[in-house]
Amino acid sequence: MIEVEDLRFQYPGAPTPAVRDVSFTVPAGRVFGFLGPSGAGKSTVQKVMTGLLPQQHGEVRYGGRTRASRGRELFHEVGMSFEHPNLFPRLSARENLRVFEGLYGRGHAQIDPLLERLGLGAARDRHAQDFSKGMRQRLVLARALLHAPRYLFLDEPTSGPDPALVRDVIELLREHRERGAAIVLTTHDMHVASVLSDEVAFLHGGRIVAAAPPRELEQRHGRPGLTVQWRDGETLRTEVLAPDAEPDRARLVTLLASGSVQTVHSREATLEQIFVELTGQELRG
Amino acid sequence: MSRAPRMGARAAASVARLRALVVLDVLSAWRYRLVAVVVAVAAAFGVLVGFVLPADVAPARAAALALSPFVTAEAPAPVVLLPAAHAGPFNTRFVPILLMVDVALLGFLFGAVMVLQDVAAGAVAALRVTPARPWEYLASKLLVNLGLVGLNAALLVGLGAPRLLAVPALWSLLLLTATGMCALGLALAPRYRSLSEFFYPLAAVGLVAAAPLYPYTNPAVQFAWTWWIPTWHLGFGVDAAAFGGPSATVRTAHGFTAAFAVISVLAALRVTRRVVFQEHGR
Repeated sequence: MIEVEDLRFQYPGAPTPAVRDVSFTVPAGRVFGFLGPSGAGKSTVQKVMTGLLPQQHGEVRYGGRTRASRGRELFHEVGMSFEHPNLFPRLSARENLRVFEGLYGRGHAQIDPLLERLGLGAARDRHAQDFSKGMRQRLVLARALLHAPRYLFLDEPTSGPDPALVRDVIELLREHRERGAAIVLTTHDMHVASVLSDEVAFLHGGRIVAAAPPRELEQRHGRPGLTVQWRDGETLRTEVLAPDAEPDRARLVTLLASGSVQTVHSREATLEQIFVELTGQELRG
Repeated sequence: MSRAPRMGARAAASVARLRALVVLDVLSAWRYRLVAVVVAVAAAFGVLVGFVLPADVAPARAAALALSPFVTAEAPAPVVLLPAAHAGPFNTRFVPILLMVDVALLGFLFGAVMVLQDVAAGAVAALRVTPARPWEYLASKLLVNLGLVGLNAALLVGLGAPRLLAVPALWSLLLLTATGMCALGLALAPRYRSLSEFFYPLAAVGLVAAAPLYPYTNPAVQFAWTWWIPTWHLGFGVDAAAFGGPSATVRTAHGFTAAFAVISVLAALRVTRRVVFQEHGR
């Protein structure tokens, strides 16, 4: 379990903290997703949690013990993928992973299956500098998963333009969640966040403005609606009706009785709409 | 687990991590063609010393030709020649000069290049979230750089003056000075973001390290301050060991370069902890 308590971080020279009053818990076998626009503080939270940035205020505990008390031994249990693929460019995919296997004190048995799994099997002996952005992103993810870490930090793991990557990442992360990894996911991809996360937190201006399971957020903040298409002579008209409002319900009954209705679609609130409603700001800022 | 086996396990894990980092640095050195540069430079200097320069030149002529670019056949008075001056063959007297330049610049530059490459690729952040310790990172860079400098010196001396291969003081002084210069590069480089930014410290250190060339090639002129430069001790120490100079010079050279190596390594370790690994204490 990862416990974060009252985290605050201010970059030197910055007028306000990048992160403040951030507290949350990620139990084993759960995915905690951070959603927010660029600059909201998502990556900063991860960096403070892993010690890449100094812990100025608050506490981070892994398995009940503070990060500082675990020392560098903690990193045997931590895997981290970065938004910007920071590989050794003149080493092949396999060599990049072998170096890290050596640092974790493990054999090389996992490397080839993992590369195959992420679609990099044929490119395993090519230098990382010759990879596309999507391939580099996969290799960074493979590096984070290599030692089956107990705590996994993923910073925009699907920011590459590769739809196949998104599918593979979701599938792989589900497997790691199943085996008990506590996963902290940072993304502005609503689809990934909603299908993977057991709990999502909206980060805005360095603060968590809402945190709950995605479905609960949708129910709490979403406004149910129906999009009705009906034929008016030769013209196709569209109306959005709220089933919880009496006039709209009556209007729907009328339309259905007229026999002119062509299609009816439910309108559910997306995480993005909820974020906009809560903060007044777009997620892809 | 009792204390001794636990310490043994920790040491074994540390050795395994160090080995992984050395593999990384060796592969990087090979792929960035640092090995090719080392071999090419050493071969060029080795051929120059062994085959181009004459071995047998009259001592007086040697003084004019080799030991100063400024004096003519008539050395200026008063001439304060070092005790061992002109004792060796003309061409091999260039070996200490070349070692001074090679060790100083290659050791300093390659250590810095390796760190700057890691910083530029962002790979340092990836290493910081692994169990790798700062001292392992530093030790790996030092070991690989000492290997490169050793290869360079072995080729240069082997091609140019094979008999000097059997002078132990040459290798011990080389090891100490190279360790110090490489560690100095590793201590300075992390404060810069790219190799182009690092040009100014590189030029400054290069100039300072090359300053003892002047008193070495011109024994008539000695500047007291050059004694404080490690390459002075490498040059004059190797010269004394190889050409029968005073043993006190060799001893002093060892003492000075050893102190330089220790101080530089400690400084590099501090910088690696604070700047490269950014250990914050919490």
